[in-house]
Amino acid sequence: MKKIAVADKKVCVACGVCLKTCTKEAITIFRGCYAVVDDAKCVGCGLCAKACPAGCIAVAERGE
Amino acid sequence: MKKKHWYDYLWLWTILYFSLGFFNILFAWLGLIDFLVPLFIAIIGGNKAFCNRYCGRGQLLEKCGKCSRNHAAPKWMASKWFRYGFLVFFLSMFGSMLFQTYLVAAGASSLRETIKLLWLFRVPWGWTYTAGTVADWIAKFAFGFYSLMLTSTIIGLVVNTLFKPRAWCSFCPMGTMTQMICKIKAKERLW
Repeated sequence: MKKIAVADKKVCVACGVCLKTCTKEAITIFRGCYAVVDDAKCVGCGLCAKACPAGCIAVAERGE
Repeated sequence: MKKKHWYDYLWLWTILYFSLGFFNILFAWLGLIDFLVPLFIAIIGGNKAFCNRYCGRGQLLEKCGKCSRNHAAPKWMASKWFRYGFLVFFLSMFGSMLFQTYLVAAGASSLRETIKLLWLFRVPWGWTYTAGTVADWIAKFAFGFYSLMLTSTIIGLVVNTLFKPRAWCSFCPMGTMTQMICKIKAKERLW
């Protein structure tokens, strides 16, 4: 897996659209504050980035 | 496909709420559930399970997402100043509605059987209420609260269509408020 979703916790509104979209259950909302991506589960498909209404998720190369 | 849960059908509740208020305005009081439950969940549970799972409005907007242009919303719409600004605006409008309810209760102002959309447009809504059924202030609050709920849904639907499904969530006052509570509880930065 070369890519991974990265959520900007400063912009995230913790609405949970990404968790619903993720087919790998790789996203959780940390204590109602912001989305956290589990890098072991994320396959970098970008579904969450497309769905995020706040536009706070980007798909990046792993290890960057 | 993910397994469906009972709470995946709460969008029906939102439709039911608006339908009930179309026939009898007193049902608008039920909207307090949508107002208090998220706050309790945030205060007691310290999470946004309401937004994440139970928000019927969010689910309804998601359903209406088929009509969305699916464009990224402008950056300012999820910015802190806009979110907190909109929260302050929304709460002051809520406060003004409570004050008008008080004025009716005190007899300083009379009950008007109308709802106000987008805080500007008065719409006759008299068929939903028979004068004298309950104390005037109880009816006044119902008209006011229903106005607030319908207004936020209208704004939600507009941004839903223009931008992405659930674009409303990025500046929903309830969402901002519950996230604030969660951030304070988790000792995270608010700004």
